[in-house]
Amino acid sequence: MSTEEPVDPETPAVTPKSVIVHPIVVFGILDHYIRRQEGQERVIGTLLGHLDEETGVVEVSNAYAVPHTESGGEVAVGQAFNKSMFGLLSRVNSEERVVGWYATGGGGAVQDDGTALIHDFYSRECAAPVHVVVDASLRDGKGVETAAYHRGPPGADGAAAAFAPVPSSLTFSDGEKVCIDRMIRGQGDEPFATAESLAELPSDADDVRDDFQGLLGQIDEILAYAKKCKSGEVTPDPAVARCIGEALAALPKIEPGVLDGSKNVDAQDIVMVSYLASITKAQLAIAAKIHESF
Amino acid sequence: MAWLSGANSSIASIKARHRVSEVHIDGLALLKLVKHCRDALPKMVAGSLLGLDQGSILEVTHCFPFPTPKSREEYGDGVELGDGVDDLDGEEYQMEMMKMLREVNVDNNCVGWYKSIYVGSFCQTPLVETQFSYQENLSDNCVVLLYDPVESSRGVLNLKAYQLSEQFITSYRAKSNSFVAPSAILVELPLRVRNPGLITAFLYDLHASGQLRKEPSSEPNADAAPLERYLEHCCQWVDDLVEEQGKFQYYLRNVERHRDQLRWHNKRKAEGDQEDADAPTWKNTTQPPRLDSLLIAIRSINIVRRSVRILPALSRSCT
Repeated sequence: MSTEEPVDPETPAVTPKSVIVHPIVVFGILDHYIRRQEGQERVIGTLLGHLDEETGVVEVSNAYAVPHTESGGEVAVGQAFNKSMFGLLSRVNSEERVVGWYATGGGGAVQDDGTALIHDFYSRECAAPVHVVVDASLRDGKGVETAAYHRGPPGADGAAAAFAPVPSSLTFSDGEKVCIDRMIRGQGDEPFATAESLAELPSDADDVRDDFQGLLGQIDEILAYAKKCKSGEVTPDPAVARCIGEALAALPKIEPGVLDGSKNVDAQDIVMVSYLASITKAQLAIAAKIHESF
Repeated sequence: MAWLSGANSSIASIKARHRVSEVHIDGLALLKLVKHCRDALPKMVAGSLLGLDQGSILEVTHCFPFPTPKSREEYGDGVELGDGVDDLDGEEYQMEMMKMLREVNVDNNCVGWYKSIYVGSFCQTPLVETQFSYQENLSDNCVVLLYDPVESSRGVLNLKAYQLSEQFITSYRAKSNSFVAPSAILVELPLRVRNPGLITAFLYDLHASGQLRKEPSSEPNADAAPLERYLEHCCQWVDDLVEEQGKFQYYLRNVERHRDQLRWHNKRKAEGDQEDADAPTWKNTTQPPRLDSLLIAIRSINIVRRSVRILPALSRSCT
């Protein structure tokens, strides 16, 4: 792979100031790592998302695997693969652009020539690529850690700058939150008892119950905190107090009579819906009988 | 669906001997599916599922989206993946995508498809047709996953796995118009989510770090709205059903009239009247298709079930 100048040197490169990664990306990277070729040490792939030019925040919302080989100082990246995969994916979602690349590794960016060469390649794909490293080794009792790096412009003498860490964090879209929540809660009373983490998809009724339990738990927590503050065990935190105050103020003051009235309306709604439901069921049962009989 | 049989003839020849009874979807595939369906809102989209059937379990390990056909503005209920001009595009797309995914060691076996739906309105003839061609040409074990992205904005993951029942397949293949109980057309399979060990580790980290704690939703609770929508749909479908029933009644009346005529004709013949020798011809020979009304029945029953099920949610918003 030869090093060339970036295709579009005219655009002033915005320096990425922070990177936010969606869990789907980490899932994809780990899955790719599991499916790596035998003997392959790390896997790489392209990150998709968008770069907010004003704030310098890179949001990574998708990723795909790219085949590559490394031996000694030689690196071969599936450039054609990368190009056509991006073409295919952008037909589905044209909002997402190449924002960088990922690799798996054990803590910290691998500062070898290979990394630099791949980064050079991605510098031609987008103006300021970020490099996200996911530690999939789970060594030394560490979890799956994500780190992001950025490489500044080459110095005056033409030497490539070193990779500088960029603060990174995870962010969840609504859909991801719901899914991941299900993956954890669906495992039943003993989460993470098995390596497969097989999870049921709970029904709506379970959801309501769980929500209430969660809410009650939070209220208990706040109550315990308030009691501790009162007894002087904990120094009260004004910020927390303000949050509690806001939460209490958010409750509308409802007169008992109004509350009863709205409860009655609610009950009537429920009766009406179940009535409609049974009428419809009766209709359908009759229809099925008619069909069956001729 | 020529491409299915052509491209996967090797798979088609290995017809599954027995059916799967459960579907396991990988967390990654689930996230991809949900992302695609939600990103594409308000358009309704579809995609392909990759994986393997092992014993009684169908494992879905990967999925990829189908591109939205350019020529069709509305990619709504009438989504037809099997025919039409714009499908040529989609077919090439799928082949290409599967080829590329094989290079990075993703399971290269199509086990079904997914589709985003809107308020239970999924049960349409095109869906049945597409699913039929999947189960007929690829494997008996192909499933369709239906996901409702609109409902998920309420924090509900409404994802269901369906297959066509063998009884229905046999009847549909024979193009017979016989009666199949509405509940026996589509079979729902239990769906579970599984994750490989490494991703479980990541999940555990997430769980332990407490990043997932439910934040109180900032938007006002609009739980009553879906119920209204459900009831509206329900009313509409009951109307549709009545209309379909009307067709059958009309048909039945015709049958009766024809029998009367025939009887009268035979009587006159027996009396030796040779004036009108020709037997009255039977005009309305085709039975109206049953499929539509059966599907409406499923749709309505589903909506009823759902609206009953969201009642607790409704009472939650009011208390």
